[in-house]
Amino acid sequence: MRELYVIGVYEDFRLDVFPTHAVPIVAERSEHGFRRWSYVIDRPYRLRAVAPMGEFRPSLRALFPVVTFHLCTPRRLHEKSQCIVLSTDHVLVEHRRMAIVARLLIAILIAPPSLGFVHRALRTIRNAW
Amino acid sequence: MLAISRVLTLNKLHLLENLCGMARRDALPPSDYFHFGRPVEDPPLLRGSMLLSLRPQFLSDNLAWFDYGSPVDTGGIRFGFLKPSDPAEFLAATMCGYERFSRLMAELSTLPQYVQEQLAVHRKTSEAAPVLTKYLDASVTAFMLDNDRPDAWFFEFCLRAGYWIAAEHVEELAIPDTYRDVPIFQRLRTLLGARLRTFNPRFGCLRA
Repeated sequence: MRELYVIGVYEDFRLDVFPTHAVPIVAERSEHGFRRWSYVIDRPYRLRAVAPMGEFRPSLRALFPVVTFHLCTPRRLHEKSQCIVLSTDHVLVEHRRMAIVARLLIAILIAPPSLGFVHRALRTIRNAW
Repeated sequence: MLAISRVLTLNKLHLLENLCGMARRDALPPSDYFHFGRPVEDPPLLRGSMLLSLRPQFLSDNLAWFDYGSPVDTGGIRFGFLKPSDPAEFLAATMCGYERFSRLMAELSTLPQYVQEQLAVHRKTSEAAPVLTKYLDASVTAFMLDNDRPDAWFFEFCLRAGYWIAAEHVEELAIPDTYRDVPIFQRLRTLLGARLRTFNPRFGCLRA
C-alpha cells in the first residue's frame, strides 16, 4: 500500500489571503525519496489519486524545477483531507470538518484584529462544509 | 480559434498587476508561458489557485514579444515527464517562431468542431495529422501521434518580458472566493465585471 502525503499547496502566498483553502501537492514517500502524484478532486469532496508523475527525487525541493509553490512538513493524506492555509507557517491538513471549524474559530480568537482575516475565516468555514 | 488559458498562483502577481495597470515601469514582468485549449485535467498536471482564460487575439497582439511556440510541452521534456529519444534535438525541432506557430494554430482552427474539441482538452486526434505534418518536423508529428499524454498535445507559447496583457484580452478570470476582498482583486472586479468569477477553493480552479 502506497503512503501518500500532502507536502505543500499549489499556491505561493505573495499576498495576505489567509485563511484560505488551497489544493494540496500530493507525493508518495519511499526509501527512494518523494514522487509526485496527480489526483482528481471529486464531488462530493474526495481526493482520488490518479497516477505517479515523474521519478522519485531525494528531497521535496528536487521535485520541482523551480519552487514556486508553498511546501510544508509532510502529513499523511486522507481521501477527505482539506488543506487550509492559516499563515505562511501553518498549513492545516484535516479531514474532520468539526476539527476544521474549531481550529478556524481558535484562529479568529488568537489572530491580530483584522476584519479581512475574520471575514475569510468565516468564508472558509462555509467552504469547508 | 481555440481559447488561450493559464493556471496562475499569486507568484504571478506581476501578470495581474500588469492586467490592471498597476505594474511599475521599471519592473518588467518576466517571460511567461501560455497555452491553447483548457488546462490539462486528465490527469490534472497543472495546478494553481486561479484560472485565466484569454482570447486568441492575445497572441497576435504580442507578436513583438513572442519568443517561441511548441505543440509539445517543453517544460515536460526538460524535466523528464516526456521522453523523446534525444531531448535536446527534439526541443530544437519542436520550438517554432511566430509565423509557423500562428499559422499552425490558425489552420488547426479550421478543422471540424469535434476535432477542435479534442485539441482543446489536449487529446490525441489523428484528424489533425495532415495539418501537423504541414508545419512541423516529422519527428515531432510522429512523437505526438505516438503519444496519448495531454502534455504531448499542449500547444504552448512563451512571451518575453514586457508582453502586453489588457482587460480586452480576458475571457474570464476565476479566483477563490477568499481572495475577493483583497485590493488587487477588487480592482480587477471593477475592470472585468462579470468576467471575474469566484469559486470555492476547496475544489480547486480546475473543477470550479
